[in-house]
Amino acid sequence: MIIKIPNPFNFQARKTFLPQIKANPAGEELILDFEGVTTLDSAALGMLLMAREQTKDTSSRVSLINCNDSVKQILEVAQFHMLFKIS
Amino acid sequence: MSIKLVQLPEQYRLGHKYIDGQHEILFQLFKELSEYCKDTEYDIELEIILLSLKTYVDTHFRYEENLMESLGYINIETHKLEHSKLEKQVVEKFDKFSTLSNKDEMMVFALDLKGFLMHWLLEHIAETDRTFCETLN
Ligand SMILES: [Fe+2]
Repeated sequence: MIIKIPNPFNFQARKTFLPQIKANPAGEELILDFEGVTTLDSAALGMLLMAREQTKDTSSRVSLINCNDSVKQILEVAQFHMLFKIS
Repeated sequence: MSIKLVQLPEQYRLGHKYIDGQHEILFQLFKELSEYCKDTEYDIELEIILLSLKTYVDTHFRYEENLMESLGYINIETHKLEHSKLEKQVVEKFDKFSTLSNKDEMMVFALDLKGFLMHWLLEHIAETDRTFCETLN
């Protein structure tokens, strides 16, 4: 399943993001599309960690795609390349 | 680009972009735990928050340890020992979590774990991480 991430990605996105994650069908890869996202905060980073745990039983990995350079920098500071597939 | 520090108390900021940013995320997860305890209809399960916290504590500790290693930090073994002691305690607490049967017990557990981890982390940041970061500057 592909989920489009809103910009800015922050606490406001929670209401739509978390139900979307839970709806990911079993066995399907979860792909989070960061196209157009320029800002994300620690609330969003926390949501990503929870999304990863939420889908662990059903999906082998969570991919973050279309990340721009500033998003990649934040993810690098957070060391999320250890936990997600980032492109 | 650095992670904006919102949850991490001012006096615990060490001036290292990566370490501060990762501590901020840990504090963000503590906030999730407190929110869960305030609201029984919270939108995420307790187990998911706890697992996220455990995963990220591991990730963060490995980052610090790799950094210390690459810099030949003299106190690395003592620092690593503190990390591994905490990790062991977290595993023990998680074993207890799987025996809980109702929501009230889970709430008590969540608040207790949050208190324990936050207290540990703040002391660790103030002493052990600060000492390490001071050698970096
Ligand atoms: Fe540390």
